[in-house]
Amino acid sequence: MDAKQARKRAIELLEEVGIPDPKNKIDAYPSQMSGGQQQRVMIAMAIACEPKLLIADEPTTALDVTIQKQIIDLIDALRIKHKMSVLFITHDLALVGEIADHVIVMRNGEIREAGTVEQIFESPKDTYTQALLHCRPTLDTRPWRLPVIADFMNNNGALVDQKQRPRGLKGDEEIVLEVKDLGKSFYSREGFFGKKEFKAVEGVSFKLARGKTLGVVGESGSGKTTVGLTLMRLHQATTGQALFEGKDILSMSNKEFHHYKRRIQIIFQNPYASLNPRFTVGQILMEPMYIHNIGANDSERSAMAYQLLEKVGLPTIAFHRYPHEFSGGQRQRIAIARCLTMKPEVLVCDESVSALDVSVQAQVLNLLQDLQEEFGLSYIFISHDLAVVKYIADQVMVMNKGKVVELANSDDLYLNPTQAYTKTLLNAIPKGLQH
Amino acid sequence: MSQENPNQALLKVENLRVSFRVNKKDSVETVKGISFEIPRNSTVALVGESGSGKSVSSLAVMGLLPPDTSSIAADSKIIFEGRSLLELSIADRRVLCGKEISMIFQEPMTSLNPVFTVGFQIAEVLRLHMAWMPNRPGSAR
Repeated sequence: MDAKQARKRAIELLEEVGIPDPKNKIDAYPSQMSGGQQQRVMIAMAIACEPKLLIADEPTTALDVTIQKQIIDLIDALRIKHKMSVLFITHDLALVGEIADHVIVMRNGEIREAGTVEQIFESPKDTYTQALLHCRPTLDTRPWRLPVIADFMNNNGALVDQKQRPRGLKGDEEIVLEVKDLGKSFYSREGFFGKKEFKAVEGVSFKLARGKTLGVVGESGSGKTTVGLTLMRLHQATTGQALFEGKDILSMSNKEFHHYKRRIQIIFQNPYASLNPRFTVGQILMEPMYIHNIGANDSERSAMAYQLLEKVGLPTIAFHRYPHEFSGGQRQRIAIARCLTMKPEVLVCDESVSALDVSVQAQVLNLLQDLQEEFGLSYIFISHDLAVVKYIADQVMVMNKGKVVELANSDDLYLNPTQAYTKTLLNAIPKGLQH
Repeated sequence: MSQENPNQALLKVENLRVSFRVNKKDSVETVKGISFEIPRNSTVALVGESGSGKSVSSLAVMGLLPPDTSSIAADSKIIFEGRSLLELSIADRRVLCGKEISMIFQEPMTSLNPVFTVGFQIAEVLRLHMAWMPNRPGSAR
């Protein structure tokens, strides 16, 4: 095969994996493509030699829910067309129901259960498999607490019957934060004097009630993270107001905002990147207390830090350890504990559970709910995972291309979406078994 | 997995054990003797949380485990279309993996080379693997 033939074949492959305009895209660099397109290129490379076996290691974990579905459908279509077999590796059981014929469940290097997809989903025999199936929030129920793996393993698989948690706003709640017509534009240079405006967020308005959760969903690039960062003043808003107790926190001076900073906090997506690796957990927790003059002296501050560690379910010895000694779920709890040191009233959770395994995700979601009940916290919960948002949020705001598409109580939105875009998003959620 | 005729399985993994050396003396067994089969024309999902050994098992099939820190037990078997992969020479293994068995990774951002165009990277695969067999009979093209 010479260079010319190889190029021709490469164009065919790009076309086959659904890259638009393959004749031009073939000369693009990876950075000029979106995440979904890059994954399509990876698939094109993988099927270039028409393999008999394709191993896909978490191919969709880093992608949005709608792109995720497209990639899964593409892999399945290619499998049928090229008569391949696929070994699909994932932590997400719901996804498995959409694609697999056979399922093998592993834990600690051993196979816990293996069977056809129907067997695993309809009559799982192993307690661990049952636990995995139940820890993920589902769209049709909202138990008071999400079950975690340990509940199952200790009770030998017996599921404790739980009352359902009511969610939604009645309309008479106290409003903590009111956002009016929020907008954020980014500018890129064009020519000598020109600049090009890109509206990342435009005309976003919502009210956040005390002790309630507003879910913000949308694909990447929809502006949901920008909303969170702008409210924290990590981005300067271009237009609009955010009224906290009637005062606009976006237009006040930095000095004035300092008093409010304590009351609005953010938990980021990646607990590996958001904790200073050179600080011990104790230092991480006490630093914000110094800055905001919380606690009279060090012994009082460390006592508070110990209390918070206990509150988020970490051992007290964690105080003297460094972040790298903890797992992802434990680090996320450290990040939550750090936010709690300032006793915030509004907590922005930006994809805070997205990087976690299902069982750890359930633990963190339970913790967030417990804290909400205890301290009356209000959450702005940003996520691309619609099942998680349905579980945790009272109200859901759907965003697309920087604008609000729909904003409603979560049960109403999921049962009766009024906008076409919302329906598309909801249809892309992996439903578990679809055979 | 039992209902399939064992002669027809595309890939058969038998009693796979993988251990990693943590220091000079000790090693940790991360895959503790798993067996499974992948029938032809089917999708098999390997599900588990982080640390369950699912990725290590797939890397063992691809022959991508780090040779200096990991070892596969002597009685483990990986049979692909009747060929025992663990007994192949490194050169034969490389021809097979990428051509007959290929892999997609989690992070497209880190697994694509940023300084080459995508066309170059796809063509590279073709040059490496298809040069030996330019026109496979019965190819679906």
